[in-house]
Amino acid sequence: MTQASAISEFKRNWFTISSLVSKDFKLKYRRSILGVLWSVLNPLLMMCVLAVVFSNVLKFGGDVENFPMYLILGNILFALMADSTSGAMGSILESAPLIKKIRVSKMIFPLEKVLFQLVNFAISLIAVVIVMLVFRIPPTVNLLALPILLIFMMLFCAGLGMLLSALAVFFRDVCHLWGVVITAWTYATPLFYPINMLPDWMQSAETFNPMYHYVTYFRDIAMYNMLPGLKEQFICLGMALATFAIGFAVFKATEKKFILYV
Amino acid sequence: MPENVNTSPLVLNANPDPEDDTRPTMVAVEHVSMVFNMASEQLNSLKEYAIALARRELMFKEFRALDDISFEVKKGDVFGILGTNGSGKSTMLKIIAGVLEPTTGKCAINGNIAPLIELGAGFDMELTARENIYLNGALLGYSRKFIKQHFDEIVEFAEIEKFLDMPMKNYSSGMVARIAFAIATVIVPEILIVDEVLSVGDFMFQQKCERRITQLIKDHDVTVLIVSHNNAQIERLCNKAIWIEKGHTRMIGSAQNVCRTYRVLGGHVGSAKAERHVFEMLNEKIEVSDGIADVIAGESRYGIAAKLAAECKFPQGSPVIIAPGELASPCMSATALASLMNAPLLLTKPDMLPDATLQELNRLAPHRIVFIGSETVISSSVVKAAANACPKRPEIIRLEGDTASQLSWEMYSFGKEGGAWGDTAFITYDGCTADLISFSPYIFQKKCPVFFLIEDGVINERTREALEKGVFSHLYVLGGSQRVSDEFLERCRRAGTEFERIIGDGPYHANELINDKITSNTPSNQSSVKSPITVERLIVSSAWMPFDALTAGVYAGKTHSAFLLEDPQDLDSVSHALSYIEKQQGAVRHLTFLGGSTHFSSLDQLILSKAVMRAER
Repeated sequence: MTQASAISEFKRNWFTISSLVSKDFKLKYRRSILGVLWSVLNPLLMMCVLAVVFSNVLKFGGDVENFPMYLILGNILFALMADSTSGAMGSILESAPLIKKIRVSKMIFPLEKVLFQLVNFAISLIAVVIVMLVFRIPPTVNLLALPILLIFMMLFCAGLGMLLSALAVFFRDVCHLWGVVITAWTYATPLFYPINMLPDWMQSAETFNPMYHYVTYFRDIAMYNMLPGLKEQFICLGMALATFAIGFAVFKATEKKFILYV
Repeated sequence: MPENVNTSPLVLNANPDPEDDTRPTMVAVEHVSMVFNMASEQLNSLKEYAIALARRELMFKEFRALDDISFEVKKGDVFGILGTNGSGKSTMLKIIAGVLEPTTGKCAINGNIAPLIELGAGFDMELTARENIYLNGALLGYSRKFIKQHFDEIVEFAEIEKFLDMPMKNYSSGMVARIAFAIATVIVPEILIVDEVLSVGDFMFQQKCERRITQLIKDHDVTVLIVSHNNAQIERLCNKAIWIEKGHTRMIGSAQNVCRTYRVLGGHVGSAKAERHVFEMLNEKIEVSDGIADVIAGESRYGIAAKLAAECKFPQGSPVIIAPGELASPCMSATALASLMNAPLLLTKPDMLPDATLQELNRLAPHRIVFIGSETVISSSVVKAAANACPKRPEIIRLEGDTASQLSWEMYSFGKEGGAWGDTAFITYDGCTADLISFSPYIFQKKCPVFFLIEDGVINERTREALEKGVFSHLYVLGGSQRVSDEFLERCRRAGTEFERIIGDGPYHANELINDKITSNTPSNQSSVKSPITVERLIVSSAWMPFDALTAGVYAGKTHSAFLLEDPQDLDSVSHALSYIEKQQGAVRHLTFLGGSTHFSSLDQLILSKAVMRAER
């Protein structure tokens, strides 16, 4: 394929993806009174509930300074992963009528779901700003590293999404299983408890949890006013690239057979 | 769905395929086969997968949707793909559109494709039409700029200006189809794929779509592939066509030839041999001269009965017999009575006198009308209407009886008072209509009474007495010994009545057997009866709709014609009819098709006419 046609192919697919994202966006907020405001309210309300539960009932949020901020950062980043992978997982099955009828690059469907969640994530950042204002956490220059984190997240989620969407075509079991995995993962990642609460062996196990790395990255730049070191950057990048490569390879290898199974 | 579908390729001997065609090839399909693995496709969970694996049936069930299909479509061709449901047409189109990959073989496309494979793919019913136009355009690969430029054009074609910002779920299905079609054809593609889309929407919309497609073909030299089972549409739009049946190429060539063949053979049952026979006759190069065939058609059986009566040219004032059109058996007995009384036979509905019958009564001005059947089959209001229809008040006679058996006896005894019955009689069961139709020219000629059994093995008391007394010298028995017992026939024989059982091997064979018996110029004629009935004029009647032929016996008798029963849907029957005509070695000169184009298409008529022409040579 020549460079020019590759560019026009990319343009075409980009327009398709952006049209699909705007469709999802419109459908998500159509007929709700508060509309897009929910993307801000939701994380805030969630944060309030968790803050009350964990600092007053279970009593281990007290050790963490700015516990609500700690909660909301972990939550929205994890939600980005959970929602985008779940959305991507069913994307091929949902667009079966399309895939059966027109020749369209199949990869756009999982990618679109991931991008759509990125848009939602961007909106929920407003909630983070509100929390920072309320708790008087000053923004620092380290926040400029957020796009880097988001690139890691996009690669990671896209890879996972492609893998799941391809698997779901052949084994619908994946759809049922993934909900459980997400729940387990939520508890396994230090989202609403401090990492030092865990026993030593579990703390070392966390180093294999990509979400632990990303959440910590996010808290470091947004709360603790520090930039993760080069080694940490490489670990995050490596995990993202590896996941993306696996997802991409599996998707490419199986996409021709999709039409027979959807 | 026919069970035995022939899939062998049909090749026209004279098929001058212009190989020197210099137009570029747009679509080249080379030895494409598509195999679906039925077993593994239903496995949607790990458990099912494991079970199938354990049973070792994972790779076994194969379904061959397409088998070694090859064809080429040149630039500017309008190429039709024909076939019955499930024959692989849509699979073929999906492979061309690039949605499916063939299992083996190659499909090369030269140019951009606008697929219309099932319109409206990707519409979201929650979105408005405006949003959907952009979304669908994006999915079809248009740029944002292109859609913006052509937005008004799309809206105008779809005629949805007023509803642009309404959610699509509130649209009618016709409107959705219009938008989809408008979006898909706003671009001028090099190759356009049309899959049954023209079957959605109302008549006006279909015409509009067809105009748009024709415009694309004419103005832009677009190459088009059309899938349809509407053969007339393919014949109208296409210049070339392929007929695919169960994944096999049956025929490929000019749209006219393929459509013609498909119309006669497509989806019809019959053996391969019969099909070949019909196919060869269809493509026989014989000019059919005028006047070899005519058609007696009417709106319904009542109209046909009236037409037939008019054709018989009975003098004004002759008596008329009116029989219930919904009961076949009494009509067959009435044919005999009609010959005895020299009266035309008309039909009526139980509670209403059909208009055609009324008109014919008015024209015939009978002095006497005989109604066959009691109040339940012909109501008194019908009798009154019939009397009123006649210019002069006729004498009304009603023969009462509730069963075919009873009525047949009533007709016999009524006829005996006014005239002399022939010395041959028929005995048969209620429902043996096809055989009686074949016999009806003879029944009319020989004035043979037709008696019906009450039920299998049970004969009306008085009929039995008459037969056992030897009133007739000859008795035709239609039906096996479980219907009319051998002991009874033996008693008849002792009384001096020779009997003959007629049992044919299927309706068409029986038809031939009876014709050989009643006509005098068949080569294998052993019939002792010299008969004025010949096969020179054959009345072709549909075997599956015998109701049109209920009163045709009178016409056949008057014109000395015999019947040829045929079912155009059944190729074995068509082939049999062709063989029959050929066997007469040119004795058949004229065909009358009963029922018109609803039963015999012009092609069905053409095939038989060609057989007549060929046999004459």
